[in-house]
Amino acid sequence: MQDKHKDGGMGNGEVVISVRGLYKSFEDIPVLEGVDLDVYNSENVVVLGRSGSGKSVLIKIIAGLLKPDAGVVKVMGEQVDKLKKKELRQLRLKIGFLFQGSALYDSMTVKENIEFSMVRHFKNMAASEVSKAIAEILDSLGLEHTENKMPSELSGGQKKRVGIARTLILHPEIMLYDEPTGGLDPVTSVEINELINEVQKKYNTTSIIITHDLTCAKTTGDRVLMLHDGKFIRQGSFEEVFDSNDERVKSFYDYNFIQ
Amino acid sequence: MKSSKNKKAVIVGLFSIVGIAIFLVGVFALGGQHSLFVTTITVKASFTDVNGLTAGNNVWFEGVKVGTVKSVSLSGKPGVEIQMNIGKKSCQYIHNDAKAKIGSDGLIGNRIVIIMGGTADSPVIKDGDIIEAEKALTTDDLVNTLQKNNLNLLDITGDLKTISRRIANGEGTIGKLLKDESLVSNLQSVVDIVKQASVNTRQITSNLESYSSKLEAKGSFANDLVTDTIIFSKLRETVIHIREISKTIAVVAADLQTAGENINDSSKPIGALIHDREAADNLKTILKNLASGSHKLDEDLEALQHNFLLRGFFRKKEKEEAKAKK
Amino acid sequence: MEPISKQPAKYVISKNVDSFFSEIYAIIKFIGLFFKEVFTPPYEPREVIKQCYEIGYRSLALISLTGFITGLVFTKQSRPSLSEFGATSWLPSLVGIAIIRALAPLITALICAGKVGSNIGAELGSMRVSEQIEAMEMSAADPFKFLVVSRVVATTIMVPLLVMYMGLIGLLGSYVNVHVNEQTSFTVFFHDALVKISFLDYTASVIKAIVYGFTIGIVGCYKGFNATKGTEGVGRAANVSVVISMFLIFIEEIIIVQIINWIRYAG
Repeated sequence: MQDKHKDGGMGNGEVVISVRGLYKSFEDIPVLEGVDLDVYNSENVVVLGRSGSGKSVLIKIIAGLLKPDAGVVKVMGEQVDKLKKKELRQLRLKIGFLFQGSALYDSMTVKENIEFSMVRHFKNMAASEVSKAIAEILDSLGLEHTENKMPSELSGGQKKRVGIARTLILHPEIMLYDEPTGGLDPVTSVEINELINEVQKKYNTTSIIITHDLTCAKTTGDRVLMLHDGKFIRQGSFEEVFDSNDERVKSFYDYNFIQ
Repeated sequence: MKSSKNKKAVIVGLFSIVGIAIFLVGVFALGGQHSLFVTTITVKASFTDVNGLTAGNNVWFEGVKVGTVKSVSLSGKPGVEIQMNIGKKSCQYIHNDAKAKIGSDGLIGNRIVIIMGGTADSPVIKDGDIIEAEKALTTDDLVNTLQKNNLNLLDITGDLKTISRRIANGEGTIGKLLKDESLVSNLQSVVDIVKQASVNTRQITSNLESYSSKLEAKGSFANDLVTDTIIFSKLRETVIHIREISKTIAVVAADLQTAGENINDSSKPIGALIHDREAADNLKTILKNLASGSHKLDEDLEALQHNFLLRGFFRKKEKEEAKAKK
Repeated sequence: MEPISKQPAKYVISKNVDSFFSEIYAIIKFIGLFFKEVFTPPYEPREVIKQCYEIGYRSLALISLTGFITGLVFTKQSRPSLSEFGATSWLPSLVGIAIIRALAPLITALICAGKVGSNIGAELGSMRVSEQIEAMEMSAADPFKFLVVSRVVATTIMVPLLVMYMGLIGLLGSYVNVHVNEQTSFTVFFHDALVKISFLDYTASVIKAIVYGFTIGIVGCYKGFNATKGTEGVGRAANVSVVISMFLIFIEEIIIVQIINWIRYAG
């Protein structure tokens, strides 16, 4: 079940997520063409790539939101695309997913957003306990006094935090971040990057961070992978990846640090 | 938050209950009107013609709705057997010698069954009783009478044909022809029939006219909605035709009568009668008038006119006259 | 390593025809899923109530206004022709037939298709394109149950109720007009209005309303739930929901009226 791969990088524990020969295309346009990936326990893996390179598709397949055309995706030893609905739901409880636009439920307040999954999974939890847990997590994320606000009243950074709070409340073992700094100003981005590291330390989560923001990749990534044309072309630490004359890598770096 | 949730629940509950209440009130209002919740007995009646009566039509007794028609079925016996549900409460007022007839609840309204009469001596109706049916005058009957009139008119033309044929065949001398008692009486009977037809037709026409004039509010929505416009326009056309026919018949009748009287008039010499241009012209106009009467008549009359027999006959007569004078 | 399995570009008939039929399949699956989910716990009563509030109660004002005006204007417009015929006493009966048999279910359904259908389409569409539906899935809740089932249930219950309101208020509107012109009493008006209505008509209207409600809900949800292509897709989902549900409502109207007539004249 859990085949150990210890080939370089920061890997020093169990393989939590294992992807082998993953193919995915949309209406005959190939997006992923043979992706292999191993993510080890409690490491932060950053997947870099241009927009539309299929980064988001990769983590959505890992989360079971999309079905792969071919390949094996195992999360905590379970093959995601073969799971039954109930089993998948059980697995997803262990996975936190921060969506690109935070994906807060528009029609619900911050509190309702956070308690949405709680009240469905911890049915025996008293209302006061739920409120306490929510207040706690909001405090720890610097979101005091937002409980009864609607998502439309929040700033972009606050939304990301609520999105993180919404997943953390279920104590996930794996965190998947889809463009955590997308659409945020640099200052807020730095805050979110710190938050990602904090979460990893505090909850000991295994994370995959999808981004095209090199600052984010540099600060949060234990290991960086570069996705290009549906394949990983480089992997290693941030410095290792960009210590290269590969045009595809250089152009990426040049754009981000042009000044 | 909780209170707003509860408020919504309360509003939805209230909203739903009022909605359901409206629904139930509707059900009970309908139930009251369609005597769904009223116990009924079933009574039968047989009609030769129910004029489009269908299940669900109302049954009236002395102008009060007492029940509905349950079923209409061809019984095989004479005509149609209908079953009526009559409310138990109303039964006690209807006696089993009452009669049923088909009517309508308005000028062009729904068909209804009207129960009427019944004497207090007879027992009241029970479940399964059969009520005697009475035939009502219907539009169809009117049309039937009209058809009979048409046939009569046909007979008249037939008679005239016979006359002309006899003349043409030269059955006996003209004197004999004109003396012929049977001819005179024939003519007389023709006159009678025509008169009768004319009276009948006029009556029907006026019936139909009043019937249709009520319908005739031109372009009126209800009219168009409720009646079949094609039937209506046909009916109107028919009325106009009949009116024409009736006028023609009246003229014909008058003419024929004069002719008949002339023949009968013993004071006039027969020769004078025959030479009488007036009489000849009369006969011609009779034929002409009849010709314009109806299409059916037309066909026969045209045949009559086209063989020129009469004209030929009169021309011959004139010539003979001229000779005799010389 | 598995062999590369690139999807060959082969279609059963042609690309468009295939996508049409696969869409039909998807719709049937969607409806099937609804019926499966609606009867399996866990239920979402609070969301159903919330949607009932949004769909039913929030449409009541619009429905009432439209119903009242419909009844009033229909009566007003029918009067001249009936009075020419001397049959203004038939107005209540005429209006009763028109409103209960046809107008109340149809107008309510069309208004709801416009108001509620577009709302559902837009709401679910925006939830789809902003990944809220996926977020729900990730929180291991069932978005289909929470979003689709609750809304379809709500429309299926609320539209018939709105039809009841519309019918009553429409008749009231008509009564106002008739009363002003003919001084007909309330009792006589309602007696006359219902005199030509059979239980079959009444039942048919309720059935129609249920079918329309279901249609509005399921179409809006299907289009919203499967919205694609960003914000443009949201507008499209809302728009298409309205168009399709209105179209389907008319088709259903024809079919139901036909079936009812068969029953009416077969009996």
